[in-house]
Amino acid sequence: MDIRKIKKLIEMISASDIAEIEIREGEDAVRISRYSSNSLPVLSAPQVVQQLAPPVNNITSLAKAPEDTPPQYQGHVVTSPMVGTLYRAASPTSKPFVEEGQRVSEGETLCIIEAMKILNQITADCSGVISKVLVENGVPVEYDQPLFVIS
Amino acid sequence: MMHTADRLLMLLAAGQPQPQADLCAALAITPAVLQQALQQLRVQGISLQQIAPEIYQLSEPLELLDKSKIFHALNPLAREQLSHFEIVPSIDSTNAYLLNSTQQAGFSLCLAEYQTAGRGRQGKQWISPYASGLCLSVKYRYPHLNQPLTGLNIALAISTVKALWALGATSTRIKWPNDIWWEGRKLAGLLLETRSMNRSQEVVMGIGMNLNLPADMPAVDQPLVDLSTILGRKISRNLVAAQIINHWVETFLNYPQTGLEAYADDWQAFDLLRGQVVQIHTATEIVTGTAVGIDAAGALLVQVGQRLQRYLYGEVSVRL
Repeated sequence: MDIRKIKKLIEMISASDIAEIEIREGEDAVRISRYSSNSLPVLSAPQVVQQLAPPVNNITSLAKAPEDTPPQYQGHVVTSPMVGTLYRAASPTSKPFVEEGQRVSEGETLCIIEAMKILNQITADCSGVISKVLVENGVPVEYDQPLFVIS
Repeated sequence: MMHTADRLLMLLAAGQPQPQADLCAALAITPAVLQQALQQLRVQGISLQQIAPEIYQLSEPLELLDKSKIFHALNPLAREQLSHFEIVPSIDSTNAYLLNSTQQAGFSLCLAEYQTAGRGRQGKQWISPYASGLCLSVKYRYPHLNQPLTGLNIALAISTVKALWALGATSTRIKWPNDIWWEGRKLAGLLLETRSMNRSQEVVMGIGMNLNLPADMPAVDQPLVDLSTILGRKISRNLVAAQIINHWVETFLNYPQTGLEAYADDWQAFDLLRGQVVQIHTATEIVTGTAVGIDAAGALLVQVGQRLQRYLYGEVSVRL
């Protein structure tokens, strides 16, 4: 399968809520998983799953292909400590925790990342001014993805 | 600082008829202020009767939260670990209160008679008429945590059901990941929130549980049940609180060592969705499959056709 096609697929999946997708085209098969490709031990013996042993592509490794040089930010970059859905406000009706240009102090909440139904408040690890907000409300985020720039 | 309405309720809680003159004297207020306070109680869902001109009585007695009753029902471990304990008549959200409070070593507890902005996930509201349920949050700070707390909410849901079984509510089950149900009706919802500070992590677990719902409970979008219906008798709110706190403290302390694996058998016993046809609602699609349990990270496993899918988020509904 064409690498550009795979990359396109990854972008589409990143923008969606799909956890994992498998596509077969003739002899080729590709499976893209939003999460770790390690098969986790199953706690509660599920029914046998038919696995076609497709080549597994982990989204994080492909997303960091050499042609994608990460953009450089001026200042301290706050990255995501986990995979999950990002919320910029405490509830759909409340104001975002922070906006660009706002001064924050260390320990102040910047956003919430929901992972496995746990709401994790992400706090500023240094004081300064939010110079850039790199994420939108309600989007899935990856481990280590840049979220905010503090300068 | 207690409001007039809260102090009025304490006078009425035992369920005895109270003449207006006595109430005004005890609270040092005028009859007009008393009427305002009575109206405020009605708004909070208290069922009040005027049994004669200027004589007031609750429709039924209310057991208010009592710090010393709860404390005496705690086990030695929970007593030893407890560093901060607060009961408030009314608050926006016990979870938010503890999450925003300054750091304390050990465990902090907050209980409220009434929440004005009880929260579920994604801004969902939790409705609890005054003194008819349990609004309890427990905060713990993990000093040096090397692994993520994935699955802690599931372990705490399991320990909540164990507490309920110990109280006699043996047919309660968990609907993945955070809700407690009984025979197709929702009994309680749990919400785990965390905040990382350098290497330490603050965790707040909250529960909203129905204990004695009033007969004229306002309609909500799902069928509800209360613990007294399940048990067939009234149960002490303070005792239920203590039982849950005892189970939670143990789980909080042991979880970094045990992880979720230690709860595998319990999950099998308490899993409401196992073998059920479920619909997963994500932002983009609705998937139908058969729930088959959870994996080591606590993700829901769903058999969709020939494939086993794992879901980390999305709303789950059971298809009837």
